[in-house]
Amino acid sequence: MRAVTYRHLRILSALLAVAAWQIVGLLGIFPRHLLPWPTSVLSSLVDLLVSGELASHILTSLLRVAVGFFIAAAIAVPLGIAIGWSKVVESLAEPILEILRPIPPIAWIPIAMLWFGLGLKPAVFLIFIGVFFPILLNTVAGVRGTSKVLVEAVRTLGASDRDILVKVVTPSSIPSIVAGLRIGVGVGWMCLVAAEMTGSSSGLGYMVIYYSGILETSSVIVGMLAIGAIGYAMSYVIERIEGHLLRWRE
Amino acid sequence: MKRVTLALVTVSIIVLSGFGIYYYATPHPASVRLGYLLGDIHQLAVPVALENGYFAQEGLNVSLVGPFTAGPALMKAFAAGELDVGYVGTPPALTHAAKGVDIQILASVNNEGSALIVRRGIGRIEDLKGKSVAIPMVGSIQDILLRMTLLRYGMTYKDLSIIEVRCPDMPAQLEVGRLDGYIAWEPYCAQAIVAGTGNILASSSEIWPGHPCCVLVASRSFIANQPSTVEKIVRVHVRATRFIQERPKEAMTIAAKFTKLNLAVIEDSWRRILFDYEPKIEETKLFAERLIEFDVIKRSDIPDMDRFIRNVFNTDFLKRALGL
Amino acid sequence: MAVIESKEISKVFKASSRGEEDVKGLDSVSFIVRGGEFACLVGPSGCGKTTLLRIIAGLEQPTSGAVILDGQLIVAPGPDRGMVFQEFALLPWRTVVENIELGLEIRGVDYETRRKIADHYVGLVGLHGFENKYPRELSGGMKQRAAIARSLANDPKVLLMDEPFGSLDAQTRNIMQEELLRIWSKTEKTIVFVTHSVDEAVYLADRIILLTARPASVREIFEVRLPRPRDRLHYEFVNIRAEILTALSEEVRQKKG
Repeated sequence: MRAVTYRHLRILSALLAVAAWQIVGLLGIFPRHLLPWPTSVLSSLVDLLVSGELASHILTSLLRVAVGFFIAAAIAVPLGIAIGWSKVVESLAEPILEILRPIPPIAWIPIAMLWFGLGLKPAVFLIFIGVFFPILLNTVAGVRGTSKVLVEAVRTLGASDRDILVKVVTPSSIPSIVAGLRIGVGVGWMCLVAAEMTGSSSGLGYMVIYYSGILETSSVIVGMLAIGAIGYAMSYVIERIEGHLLRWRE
Repeated sequence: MKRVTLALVTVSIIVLSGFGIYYYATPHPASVRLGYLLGDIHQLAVPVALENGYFAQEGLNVSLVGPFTAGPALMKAFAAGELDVGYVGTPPALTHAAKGVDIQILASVNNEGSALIVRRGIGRIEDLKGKSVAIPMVGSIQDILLRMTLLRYGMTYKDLSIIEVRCPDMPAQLEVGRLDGYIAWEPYCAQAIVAGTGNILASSSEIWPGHPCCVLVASRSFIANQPSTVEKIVRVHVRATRFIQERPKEAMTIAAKFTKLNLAVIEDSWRRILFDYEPKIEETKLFAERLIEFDVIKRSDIPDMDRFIRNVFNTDFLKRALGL
Repeated sequence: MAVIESKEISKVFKASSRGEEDVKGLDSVSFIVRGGEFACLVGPSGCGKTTLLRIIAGLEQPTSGAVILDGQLIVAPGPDRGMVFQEFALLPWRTVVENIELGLEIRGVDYETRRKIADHYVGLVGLHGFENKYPRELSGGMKQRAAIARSLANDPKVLLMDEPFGSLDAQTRNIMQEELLRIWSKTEKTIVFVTHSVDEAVYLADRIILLTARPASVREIFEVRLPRPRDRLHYEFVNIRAEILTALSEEVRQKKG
């Protein structure tokens, strides 16, 4: 019995789930356009891979999320540090940000299309909105969470305000900032389908919408699984990077 | 006092939920759930029948479901079992039928009646490269017509930016410059033409003369369970269609009221629509072939085309309604 | 040699909400620490020893009175007064040597020079071989050595220490006390050391300033002239300790009463 490890159990569970799915399909409990068989999904996956369509959509979506992400990070991190550091900046920025923050990215779709038209720009904007707030909030929390004792200790070494900001506050905030980036990437990726409803003719979100329109449900499922798998992969990669960067943590 | 409040709140929630569940769970007696499309005057038979009381005269209790923003959305409602009959475009009906949604086509509703409208400055199809064009929905007849047109000029959707927009919103979007063009059902093509904000780049009759457009469909289970009701529905449809054919002026008035657009727009659109109930079986078969070419339907979904077409049409009720 | 003069330091903590009274923390505390001396501040818990030390550091301002260092008035923290904290306060993302050279880095000393200086202090506090470790890889005692090295590398006039061995276990604590004395003898700095432990004070200090219960003022100043290293069992050690403990317990009783 020692041979049966937890790992075996996990694999077994996954296989059983797929088998159950196929059996439910074979029994014909649900019509095939509502719940396609795993074999259909697999067949659609192969088609989409071979035609290069899936790869192309994945690349497009990744690119969109990357652009939205980097723009958001470039603004949110410095802004977050400024808000955490300066009460003046905080008082000026907070009212606007607090009102905007709870608005979900989907609600921004009409305005995004009004302001940016169709295609790439509103999609990137929507991803930007999704990514921006987690990064900002985590950055501010990181700055505010800077240990007072550390700041005082460095002051007794003769540090100026600028020294404190650069040598203590910013490095101290990096774990929070990186956590914010990781969460931001996740949120941005999840906004994909909503973002690509703004007139994109490519990308994984578009692919899901397109195939659902013509009731190709197995391709819809391929799209959903691809979105999930890549989201997972991105999260994993960032966690590894995080682990290496922050190896000084307790 | 706090415990009493908690008890009251809990009881209210349970009671309200109970009502809600009861309401949604009990089927409403005897009303026919009829789906239709938003502001689509191809489907004028429906407002005409309502206005002239045809349903009531047949003793039918019709519950309108919709309006749907385009055919594929209506067909999804069939897939979810929420509709008994519907007025919908041929391509979405075929696509969903091929993929397992159990419906049959009872009669035709209209032929042609769509157009590709563009703003000034666009004179040829090739000019659409890189531009933004709106369709009601992926899988709609307008979607297919547009693809057919582009194909003739060696273009695909990769050459443009396609966006889904509700038809009534399209003329305004074109006017403010958010769209370079759109393909819609009437009267939203006429609306831009009459307002002078758009021109026809290609109309139905240019893309595929006489192509079948909307059809009257019903779910197979409804046909099996309530054949007499289905017969009445078809009878009403024939009556309403004849009214439109024989008394166009009055029909146009009803159309204007139904779409809330003025008569000039309706009159302009009239020339591009052919109202008829006779099913166009051969043309429908052609449509199915084109859908396969465009990869909307997989070849494997329709192993036997003739059989599929035979089964998807059910003209018995129409024949009976026409007294044949 | 750095002479610290505390002149009638008073500190009032303002009430944080209505209905609360202002709390007087320090009441006209005056004392002198002579250059090169090891002085300890001792008193009942919560009397304000740490507040007093922080005022000398410049991290807090007195409500009235002043601290004068070598004739200069203290108003803010600065590199002339290094401080060592009970929580060590090392920057966790910097290695030991990077922490130690921090003060020099702030003052713009070039890489070569500051590495040399830092290395010297690494050796002085006995952390040779651990220069490139991160604080999380060090024991409590080692972290405190690093913190001491960090302050010393900046060459302050005075070293202020706020219960630096409070979070160490008893054995490490004793070792660190001896280490501190060794380092002190090599660097000859003036040290002001806050502690709860009378035993520790008598072991380390030349002069012990005993504070009253809150609001603290100076109850008594004890001079300890025993040669080092001191023997805890020596009768003079025991006597002084007893004397201070008696006075201290009176203060504690008063506070309770």
